[in-house]
Amino acid sequence: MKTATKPAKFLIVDDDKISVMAMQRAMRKLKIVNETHVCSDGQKALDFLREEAEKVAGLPPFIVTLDLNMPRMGGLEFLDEIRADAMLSRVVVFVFTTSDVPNDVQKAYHHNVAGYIVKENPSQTFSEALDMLDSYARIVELPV
Amino acid sequence: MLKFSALKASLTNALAHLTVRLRILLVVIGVVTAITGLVAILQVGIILAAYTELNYSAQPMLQLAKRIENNTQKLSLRLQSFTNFSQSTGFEDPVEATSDQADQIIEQAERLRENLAELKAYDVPENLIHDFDMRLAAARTSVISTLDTRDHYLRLKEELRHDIHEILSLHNKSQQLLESFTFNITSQSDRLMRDLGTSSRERERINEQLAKTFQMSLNINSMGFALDTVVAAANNASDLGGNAPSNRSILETREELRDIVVKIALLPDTQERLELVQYVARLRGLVIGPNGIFAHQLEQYELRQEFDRKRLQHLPLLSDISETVAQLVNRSLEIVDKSTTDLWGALQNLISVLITALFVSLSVILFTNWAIIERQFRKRIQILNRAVRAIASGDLDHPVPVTGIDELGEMASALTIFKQNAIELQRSNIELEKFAYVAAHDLRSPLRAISDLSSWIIEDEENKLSIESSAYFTLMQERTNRLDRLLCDLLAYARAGENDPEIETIDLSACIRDQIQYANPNGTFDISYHGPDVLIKTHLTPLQQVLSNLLSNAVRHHDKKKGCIAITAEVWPNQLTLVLTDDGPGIEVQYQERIFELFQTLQPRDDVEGSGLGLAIVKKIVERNKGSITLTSDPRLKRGTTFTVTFPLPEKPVAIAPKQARTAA
Repeated sequence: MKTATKPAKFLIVDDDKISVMAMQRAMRKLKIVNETHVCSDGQKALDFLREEAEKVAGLPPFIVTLDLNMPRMGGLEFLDEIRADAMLSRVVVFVFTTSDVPNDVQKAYHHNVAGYIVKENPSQTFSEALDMLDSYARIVELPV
Repeated sequence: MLKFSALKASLTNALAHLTVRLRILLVVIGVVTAITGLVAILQVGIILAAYTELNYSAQPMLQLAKRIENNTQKLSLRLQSFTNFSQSTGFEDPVEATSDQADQIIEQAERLRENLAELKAYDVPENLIHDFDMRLAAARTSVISTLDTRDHYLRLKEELRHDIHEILSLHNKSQQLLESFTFNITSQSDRLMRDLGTSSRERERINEQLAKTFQMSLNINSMGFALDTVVAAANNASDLGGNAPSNRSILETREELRDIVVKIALLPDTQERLELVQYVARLRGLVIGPNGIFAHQLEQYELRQEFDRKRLQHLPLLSDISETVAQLVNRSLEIVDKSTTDLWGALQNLISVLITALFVSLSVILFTNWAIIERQFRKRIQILNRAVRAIASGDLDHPVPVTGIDELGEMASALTIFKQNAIELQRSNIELEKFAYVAAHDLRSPLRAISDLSSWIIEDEENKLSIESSAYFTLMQERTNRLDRLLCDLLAYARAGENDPEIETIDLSACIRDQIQYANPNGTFDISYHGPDVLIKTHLTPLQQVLSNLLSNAVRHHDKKKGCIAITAEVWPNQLTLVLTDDGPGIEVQYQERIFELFQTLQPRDDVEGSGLGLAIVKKIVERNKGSITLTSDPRLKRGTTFTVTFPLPEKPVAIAPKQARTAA
């Protein structure tokens, strides 16, 4: 039974337009209709989340898919910042990156990401991943 | 000039080297030891010479001198007793005893002579020996002549005895004759006495005749007495022995004898008177004649004197001999002394030489130890050692503060170069890592975009596209995929064998079967595995990569839909051997080297998808892990390829309960 919580929104943090397009395509295919925002780097994502937080006076209901290699502020720095931010620290983050370097994985999980997904075979991974995210969004209770 | 300075420079350079210095010092020590040895040998030579002399010359000589002394003493004693003997107990002693003594003395003298002959072999002055010889000869002669004297004396004694005997018998006969004369006279006087009684005129004549007869008997009596006296005197004289004869008794005896002779003339001239005269004459000759008793007795007396004289001669002779012997003994003592002093001197020399050598050697060693080993060597090599180990373990900032133009200095500068190289290498590796990272992301990203976009176009506009366009797109996708795979493999190659994770305990069979599963997910191929059930301790990732690449190669390059691959594993305490055999087309001999190179494929990339890096990666991994990979195949003979990979195991494997090797489905 669904509670009267707000439906989850997606925040795609990735500087690669094609990658974003791929995700959006995949979402369309899977008929994911949740609200989706895109930020092209960590700083913009942070600013965006902070704005949203003020709007709802609390943790906004976002599921963040985070790329690691971005200009200005990369994924790991974003994680540093967001976990340091009292209001936003509990936000659900899935790392979505091409890097399979174990070091990156370690560092990401150190920041308590919900999952670390490597972008391998574009369409298949995305479909499965987004399917999983869809299920996640529907089933899991997001923190507030 | 130039040559000299060049020589000097090269000499200084050589001298700076540790080994050269140590060798020089060892040579110095060796030379010192050699010199010491030589000097010691010299000294030992001297000692030996002195000892030899002492042993074979001085000592024997001393012993000889002692013997001579002994013998001389014996000689002296014997001589003394010989002399004393005859003095104390008189000259009349048994001939044998005395001549025994004399024999002994002569024998002793002979022995001494022998000793002297021996002595000539030693370092004794000639005159000393000569003197001694002379004195011995003198002693000998003296003894012999003394004996002669004595013999003479004794002979005389015999003669005396003889003479006395004769004298006595003559005396007897004379007395008998005298008695007969007396008898005659007595008878005559008796007759006359008878006649006296008859006539008075004849009385005077008879009285005259009686007086004459009376006178005659008186004469005869006194003759008898005189004879007795003479004989008694002769007896006395013969008993005197060696004592001084009495001149008075000689004179008296002569008187008596003259008397007798006169009185004999008065006797009637008868046969008896003739006999008597003969007797008396003979007696006279025996008593006072030139060979008579008195003469003999005198002779005896003189012999005795001579004997005493000779006896007295012995004493100085003895003292002379003693003195000579003393000189000899002194001489030999001198020689012994000299030898001993020589020996002692040589020993002292030896000791001082040895001590000096020891001292020099010790100081050289100490100096070497301090100057070279301590200063030049130990400290610096310690520093160098620390630096080497630090750099080897990764601390590339460790300084190398060792300088010098010797071997250590050279090593230090070489080490510094190594350090730089290591730093460079590290930097290079880091660069490579970065490059690999970049290749992974920045190159693949746009590639993925191209791939995605093209696939989206195909998806969205499938119907609107012409067949050629579709085909173009398909080809484009294939190429982008290939490029992606190439980049992946390139990344894998770049990373292969680097930053190996820790050693893990791996279940070998499980690991291999996993890889079989990945390579053959649909089970189209028949891949079997035989090997022990062990837990091996090694790096997991390289092992997986090797297996994965080899298996995928075997599968992809097989020319038939269904193939057979057999994997066997042998586990040794320090090595893992994997053998992969497939029944594919095989690899021709001329390509067997090439296939391990980068980007080499044997089939066009359109026929068999492959980056050409697979075997290069395997080779790199295997070699990085100090193993080996070999390939056996000859399509001319038969189908199939066998790859043999050896993998050193850093730690010993652990066996689990043996199970039957199972064939993968």
